Amino acid sequence: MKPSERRHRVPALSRATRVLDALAAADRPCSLAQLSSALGAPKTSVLGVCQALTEERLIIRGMDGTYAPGPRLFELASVARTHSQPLRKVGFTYPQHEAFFLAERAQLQVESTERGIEIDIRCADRSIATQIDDILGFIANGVDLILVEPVMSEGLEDVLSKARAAQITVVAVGSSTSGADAVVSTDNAKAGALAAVLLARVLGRQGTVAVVDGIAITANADRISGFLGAMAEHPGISTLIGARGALNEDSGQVAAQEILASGTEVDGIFAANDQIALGIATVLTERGKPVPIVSVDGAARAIEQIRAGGLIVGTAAQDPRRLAMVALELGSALRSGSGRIQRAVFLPPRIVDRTNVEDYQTWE
Amino acid sequence: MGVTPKPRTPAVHRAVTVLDAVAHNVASTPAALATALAMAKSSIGDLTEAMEIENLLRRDPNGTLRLGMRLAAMTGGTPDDPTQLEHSLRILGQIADLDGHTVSFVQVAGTQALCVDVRMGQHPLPLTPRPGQARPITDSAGAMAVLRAASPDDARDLIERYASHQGATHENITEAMAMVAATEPDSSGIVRLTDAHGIVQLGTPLGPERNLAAVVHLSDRLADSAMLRRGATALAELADKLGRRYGSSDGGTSA
Repeated sequence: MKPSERRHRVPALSRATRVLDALAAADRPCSLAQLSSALGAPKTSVLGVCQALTEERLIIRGMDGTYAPGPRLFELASVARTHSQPLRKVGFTYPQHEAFFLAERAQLQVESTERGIEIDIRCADRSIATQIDDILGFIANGVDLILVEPVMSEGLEDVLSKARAAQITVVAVGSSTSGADAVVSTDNAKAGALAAVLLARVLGRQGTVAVVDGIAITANADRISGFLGAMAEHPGISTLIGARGALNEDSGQVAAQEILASGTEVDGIFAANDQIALGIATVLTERGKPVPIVSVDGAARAIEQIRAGGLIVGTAAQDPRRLAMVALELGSALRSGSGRIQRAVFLPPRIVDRTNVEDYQTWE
Repeated sequence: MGVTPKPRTPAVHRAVTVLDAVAHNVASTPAALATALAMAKSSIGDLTEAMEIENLLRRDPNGTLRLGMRLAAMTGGTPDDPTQLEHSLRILGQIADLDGHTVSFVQVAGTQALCVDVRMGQHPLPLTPRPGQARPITDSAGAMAVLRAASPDDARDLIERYASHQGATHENITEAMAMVAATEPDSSGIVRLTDAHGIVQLGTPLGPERNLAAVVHLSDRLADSAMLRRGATALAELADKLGRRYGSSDGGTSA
């Protein structure tokens, strides 16, 4: 690396750096005469620098008087290598303009500004094809790290293998996706289990519960699995797998209508996310059916319902801002290859119900 | 009573003190350095400015001082000027089977194996490899892998380059060469040995220049046959990926 053209007022430092450069470039130890010739400086001057560098263990003097790079140079270089691996460009693609993803996005914007990272944020508009295009765009843009909140857990394998081939680290956020190097998500199985425990208590451990799934991502599968697993401990409660919702209230309304149309009387409902729960609550309220609903997210409007005594009685709250922050840190660690790296990080959810809602700060 | 002579180049000593302070997060701004090192702010200002110009220090966008890329370039390159070591460290992060294990990168320097860099693992080892640490080549799977991958003439040259610097005798060199010849790498070029501290090492040569090796260090508690197989496969993957990057069809593992 060429020294800067700029000049400074510490010539000894310049000579010392050039001695280190010369020794690093040589594939064998160098004599004082060789260094003097390489630097175009008098031997006496180079000798003084070499003595200082030897005292500092940046170089070592051999039995024959020649010099070679010393242990302290390798120690400092190792630290410099760690320092010189900052993320420069990060790409983030998320499924749609929904509050949860917008909170992740906002946090990434804050983090990237603080860390001096250029960030390319794209919305996939609920389309896996668009998300694939987003990722291809990141690859073309030469990002160091891709954070993907997947539209679906399957379907990104090919494009992520292209990212890997380009030596770009990929971290899935919120839900796993095939082909990512790592995942950071809420412990969704625990979220489902916490919701089940609450609903069972509200129902007095008796009744029929409908389950409304979300989009085809592992986060929802884990929530349903966690919910059903915890509900299985209550033999007085039977569970029905009902409709599937999406990431909006409309889909919750459709799901509620399907449940009502089925003619089955339900005593409680578990929705895979707060958006679905809010849609269900709207329909049930309109129909005068006071069925308690539990869900996952901790979104502001669900919290309002809990506080106001609405049909939503509890939500297992996630922390999208923390998810985004941890994903950035994990991606950075993976990229630099430093230390032990945990490739699946699950953040603990927290149940929010009428007993603790006043203590809860929503992430919106 | 003797008098300690004044150093002839005090600026070099002060610069190293600053590098240490920044490396160990003692201080990361000129003002904090002045306080921590009890130096005048103006002196520190001139020195850090010179160190930035020499690329021994750099500033983050938020003004925090970091070690500069010139130091990294002196022993293996920088992200702006990629080299084998830089790429190896990146690729290492993508190989799950090496997660949690200490991996060092070594070069042959005469009769010694020089540790260039280390990715620390989570498992304690009787001797933790450190950058700058030297050990006999016969106690390093990485050095033996490099030397076995080289032709006998090239291997001897790698050892002899440092002979007079290290005071190695003809007998030392002959003995080392005999140890190299007796070492049997596996079909992927991976050398396995148990070092003087009881650590099982798996080493593979890397890249086109061949005087760089990656070494996985396993405590004997972890070195069961399954782990050794996984470690060897993972190292071969690392060598292969790096070899492909540099356009070497054999992944840089054969002589």
